[in-house]
Amino acid sequence: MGNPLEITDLVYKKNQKKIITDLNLTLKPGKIVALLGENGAGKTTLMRIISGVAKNYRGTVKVASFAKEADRKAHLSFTDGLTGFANSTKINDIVKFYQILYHDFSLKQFEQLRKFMNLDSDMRLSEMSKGMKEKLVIALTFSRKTDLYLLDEPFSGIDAMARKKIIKSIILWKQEKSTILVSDHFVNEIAAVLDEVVIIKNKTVCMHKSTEAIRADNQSVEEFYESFYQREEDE
Amino acid sequence: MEFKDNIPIYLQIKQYLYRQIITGKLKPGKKIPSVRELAVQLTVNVNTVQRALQQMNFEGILYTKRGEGNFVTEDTTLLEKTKRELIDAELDKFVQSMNSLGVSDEQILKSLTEYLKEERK
Amino acid sequence: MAIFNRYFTVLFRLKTKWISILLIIQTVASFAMSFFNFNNGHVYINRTIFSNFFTLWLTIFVVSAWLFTGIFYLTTCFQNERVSKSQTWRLVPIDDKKLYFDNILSSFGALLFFVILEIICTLILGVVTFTFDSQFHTVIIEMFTDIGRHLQQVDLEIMFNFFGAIMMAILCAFFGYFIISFLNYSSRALLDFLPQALSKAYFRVITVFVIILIAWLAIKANDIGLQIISFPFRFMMGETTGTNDDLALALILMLVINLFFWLLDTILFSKFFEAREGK
Repeated sequence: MGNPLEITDLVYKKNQKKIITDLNLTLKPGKIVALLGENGAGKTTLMRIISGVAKNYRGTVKVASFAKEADRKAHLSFTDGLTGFANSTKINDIVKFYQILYHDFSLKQFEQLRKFMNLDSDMRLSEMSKGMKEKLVIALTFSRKTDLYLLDEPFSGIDAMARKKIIKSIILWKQEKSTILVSDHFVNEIAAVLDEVVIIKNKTVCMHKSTEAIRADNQSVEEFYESFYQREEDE
Repeated sequence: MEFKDNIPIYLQIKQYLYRQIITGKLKPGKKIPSVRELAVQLTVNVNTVQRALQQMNFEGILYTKRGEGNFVTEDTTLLEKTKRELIDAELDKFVQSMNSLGVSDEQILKSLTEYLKEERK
Repeated sequence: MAIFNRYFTVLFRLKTKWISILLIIQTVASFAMSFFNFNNGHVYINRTIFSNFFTLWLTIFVVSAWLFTGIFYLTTCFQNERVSKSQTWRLVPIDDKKLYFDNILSSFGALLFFVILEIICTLILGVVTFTFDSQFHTVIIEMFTDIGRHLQQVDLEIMFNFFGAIMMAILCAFFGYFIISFLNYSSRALLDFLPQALSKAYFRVITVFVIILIAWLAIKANDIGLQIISFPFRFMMGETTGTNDDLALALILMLVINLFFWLLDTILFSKFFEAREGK
């Protein structure tokens, strides 16, 4: 089994605009990595390309050595906003969908996560707050056993308690060899759990560094991240 | 437990565990929580906890029993030494910060004695 | 192949979700319509006297079956496109080519299921009418003896016309799915990935092309559709001389067009058509 993620020379254009250019990124097994960048820097797009739902890009994307889209999808778990379900759908029905279509989905694991997140399985999507929905999405994502987990801004717009629950669940349910890539435009709240940060700027990866190496230079991860955007303002 | 984000976290975890051991919250010869338990408790990365424990193993303050986990050493001289080091480190910080305020070593001693007399009545 | 079947099952369940509601609406509506129209036991619709309530109900039910099948067909078209652009459905680890085929096939399966249920409902209502309406009773018995007589004369040509008509109906159903997908995918893919000026030109060409195609098919369908709908009646009348060559040619053409669009849709879907961001 190769690295959970290997991207080489990725280029992606949409509506005539270059969104990603010459992006290279390799993630090693067993890491928690933050994908940082401004809003609109291309974090979501990158995750969608990795998961094979964004099309027509150039370059190669490999997930656990697999390049074909269907194989990639089988070896990664992406936080989907559950938009494919009607608002009246109950958590139970969503779980059934996952159980049938993902062979690596573990109901036992989901039940543990659901209890940890205090979610009622009879609840409908329409009855859930943003924080609850995000917790459900995380629970579903971690109920699969894959090499790579892609969490797309799991902390946006939710309260501190829900955030803590989600961070704790990441620590608790992460398997030793699997790698988590979590995107955010703040880093403060998750800095302590990170192994590495990847910063996206100017449509490509401009920095990939270990958090402890940053701290060894007496810099906080947040300062380090902000310095990249500071420089731009100074120019 | 809140960590400073500009100091390597594994160092802060070590400091935290030293304190736990010296204050007797973790007793000599007893098992300490597992890596994952510590990670959840401190909300930090498992790999970082691992690194801190590895170093403490190397220093001898912890020892590993295969398949059981990490235990606090029963070597009292080592524990004493660790305690002294911790005290020294704190004193170092204190003296440095006093010095930076322009207080000389003699004055520190005097001020401290007076302070203890006044405040601890 | 396992994932193909499992995906089909889930899609089929999604698309048949509204069947029971639709059937209940149809049954109740046709019942209500016959109930309000049926006073004094004499109703004239198109110079036909309905002297029995059940006969009227059956007639309205059968006529509305065409309408409801149409409505159900439209819901499956809508579901096809909803699934295509949904990130939730497209993150499932299945090859896009198989996903597209699964999507279309499950819609057709759901449609078939609906038609079968319609037939069963009609039969149940027919049996009830048969027992309560003596007039209907005799007509049906006459009809069956007629059919029995004609069945003895069934030759290859009639068989061909019969199955050809069914084949045509099936191909038309698929054609609808393919053409809607094509319009949806090509317009989105062009907007996303082609230069603006070029995409506008392409867009016009494709619109014109599709309009011509549909116009041609509408003319054809007029003949063939009539043939399909009138087939059972003509068969009962013993009038079976059909335009055989026409049907064969239309079938082949339709098959080729379907295969062409299937291929085109599959390519567009797997290479260019992105799922919408699901946040």
